[in-house]
Amino acid sequence: MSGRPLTRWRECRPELYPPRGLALWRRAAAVLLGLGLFLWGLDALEVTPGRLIDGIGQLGHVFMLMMPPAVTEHVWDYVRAIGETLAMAFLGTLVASLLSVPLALMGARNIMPFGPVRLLVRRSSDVVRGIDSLVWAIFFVSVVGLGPFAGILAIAMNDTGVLTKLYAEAIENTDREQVKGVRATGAGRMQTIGFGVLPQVMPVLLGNSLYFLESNLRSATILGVVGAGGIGFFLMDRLMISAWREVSLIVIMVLVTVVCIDALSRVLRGRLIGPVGR
Amino acid sequence: MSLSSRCGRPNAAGAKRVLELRALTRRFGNATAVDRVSMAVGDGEMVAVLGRSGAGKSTLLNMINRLIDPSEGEILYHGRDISRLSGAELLAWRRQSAMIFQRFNLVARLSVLTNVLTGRLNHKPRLPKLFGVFNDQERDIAIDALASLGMDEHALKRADQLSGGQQQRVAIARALVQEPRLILADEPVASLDPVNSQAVMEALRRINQERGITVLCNLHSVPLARAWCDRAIALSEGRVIYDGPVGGLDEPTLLAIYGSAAALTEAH
Amino acid sequence: MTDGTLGVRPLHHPQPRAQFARAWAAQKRAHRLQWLSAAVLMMLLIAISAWLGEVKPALLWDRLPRFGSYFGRMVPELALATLGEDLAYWYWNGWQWLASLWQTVLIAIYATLFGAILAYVFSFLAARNLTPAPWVGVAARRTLELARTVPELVFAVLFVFAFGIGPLAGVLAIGLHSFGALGKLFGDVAENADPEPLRGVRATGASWAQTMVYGATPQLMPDYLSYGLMRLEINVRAASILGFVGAGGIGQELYRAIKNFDHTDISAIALMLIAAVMLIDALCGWLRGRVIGREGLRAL
Repeated sequence: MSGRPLTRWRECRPELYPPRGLALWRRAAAVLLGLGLFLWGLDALEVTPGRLIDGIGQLGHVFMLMMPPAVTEHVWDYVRAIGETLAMAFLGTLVASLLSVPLALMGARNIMPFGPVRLLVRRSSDVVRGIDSLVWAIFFVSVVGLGPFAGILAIAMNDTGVLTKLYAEAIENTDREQVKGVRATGAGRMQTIGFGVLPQVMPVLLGNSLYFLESNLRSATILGVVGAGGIGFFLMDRLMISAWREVSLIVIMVLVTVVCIDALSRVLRGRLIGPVGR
Repeated sequence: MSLSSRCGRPNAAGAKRVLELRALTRRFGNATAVDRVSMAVGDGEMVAVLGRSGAGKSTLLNMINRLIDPSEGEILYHGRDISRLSGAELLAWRRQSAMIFQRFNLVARLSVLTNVLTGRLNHKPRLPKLFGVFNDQERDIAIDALASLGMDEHALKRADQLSGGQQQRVAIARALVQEPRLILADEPVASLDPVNSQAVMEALRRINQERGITVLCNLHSVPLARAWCDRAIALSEGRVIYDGPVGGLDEPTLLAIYGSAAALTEAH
Repeated sequence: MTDGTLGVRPLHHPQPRAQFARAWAAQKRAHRLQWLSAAVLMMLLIAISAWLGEVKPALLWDRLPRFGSYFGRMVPELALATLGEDLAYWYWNGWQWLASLWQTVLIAIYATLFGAILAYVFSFLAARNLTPAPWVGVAARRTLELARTVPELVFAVLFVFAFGIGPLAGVLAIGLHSFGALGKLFGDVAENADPEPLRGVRATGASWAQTMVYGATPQLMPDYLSYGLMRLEINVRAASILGFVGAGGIGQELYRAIKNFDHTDISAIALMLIAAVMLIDALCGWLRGRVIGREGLRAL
């Protein structure tokens, strides 16, 4: 811009510039208010810089104690417990996926014309969803006793709530034109659903179920805390007696398992969604 | 048919040669996109780069701006080796060699003004700009640039709400605020209708003549090159086959550039 | 011709049709085999899981009445005539619970906030198309994986040990986990970013960070916000149980009620929790609709 005088556009086009005067004060006040709220919240949560610094020091100390992971004779208990955890996640997800399909159909606007039925299905799934699987686990332990069975039921319960809502939304988002096409061939209601709606949502359902398998594996690892089977029991037990080196062993074993299942799930999703979702 | 007799050193009378390419080469795997290109551009020239699509024009320009790195060869600007720059100096060079793209390459969700202001990102102060803070002086510069292209009334609109010709003018404004020494325009009007093409080429020519900024322009249309540029360089399969005044683009030359009569008519 | 395709031929040419029929049958056989082996595999997995998981359907059937009795004990005594007093009795500790619930929501909000901001930064380091150097990308992705694979409860217990009992441990635990989960989601979105605006900004001489802020962020922000709000919903649920290990919030009250078999307390707290979760879900859902529907975010 050398040699050309700069015009002061501020006078004629003030909206292109940051606010001055009263508007600036208002903006500053809003920022200060936001900051104040933020700090007030931190205080309500008992967060102080002192606690943070002390805590980090403690953490460092604990990390030192965790190395190296101790491979004791308990390792086989842990392996079996991880197997239990995998079983819990797998069956829980399977049952939930199967149960959710008919429930979702009953909760979808384009399939179920009766409002009250839809409402019942959607609200109950909300309730079931709102309660964490850990709480369900406690409940089921008191029904069927300690052990992984309670865990399976807990996961299945929570997931049915989540998947029903998800699937119902997917069904409601199906392309009407494809469904109409099937109906036009003279298909009955059930056939229309089977050939017009389900093929469209199948990739979504499968993909979601696999994704939930990964997620459920993570939740299943802690259900043992309340006696619902799986590695959670050992994890909590060792944590409580501060056996840090065994804790790190368990955590590493869990990490490896989860990473493997994640990779498997990704591969399966790629292969299933490929041919199915064309 | 040899065109070497038509190649020369056709600088505008006495203009100093500021941009030199020496045996510039770029390979992608087994394919050579730019093949030992050597040329020199004088200060304040407006040069058209012609050739079929795939002839290497885009790659050439992207190498000059260092968005792509050369495989071999040198790029010299005022004697400085651009091809070896890195770090802050590289960023500074990119600022000085402003680029204009065929698809405008604006940020769709940001306002026109903010898009132009991104041209100031490599100017000090740098830290506040990470948070969207530009000082009043820089806003002045940006609005000036927009006004010189007739776009200041659209300053607060989202970039994707503008037409193609308008977006390209915003892109030119962005290039202007970089205070560049060189403007590299990669098919600036290929996506525009004839009316807007005129406006954009006219803007580039005006900038070239009023501010003395050297302009290198990839063009797909020979009439445009004749109408707006002093000089033309033609590429074919990555090699320079013509380097001379636009007046020298006669029928046989053009046939060699475009390969066939059919392709030639398309370029008109 | 023996290319086996079904071309336009007069119907009295049996050869190509027979070939086509054979090829179709072979393909169907292979297909069926695939499905069969998949089904067998599935059956096997189910059998093994059922064994490991000690599945006893008969037991469930027997204990079904327990379901009922359990719920029965949780239902409070509410008579229409004395509704006011009955409700007050049921929610005898209502204000305390409300305060704990509020703390739970706060934990979730701060955890999501911290996690999301860190994840935003890391998403650019982890995304393969945006990362400043390949090794940075690998390191960032591994870090995110670690953060989201370790269960929140494990982090929570560790942090309670280090930072003491209270909501701080909860915020850090959920925040760290959210950082990992959101970082991955954000990174996936970032890897699909439109490269043209990025090149446009880079060509002006902008630094890597500036290019991320001006070239990438504007196009990615709606998706980032949407995922962040989704995470908030999840985190409220997570925060509600961290109190089990002393990391603050209503979990502590719930745990106490369960341990002491205060069944009507359990239902009271559970109901409050469900209501809060439904409210937050609705709020986040509405916000997400505004963010995605509203194509024009305020221009910077």
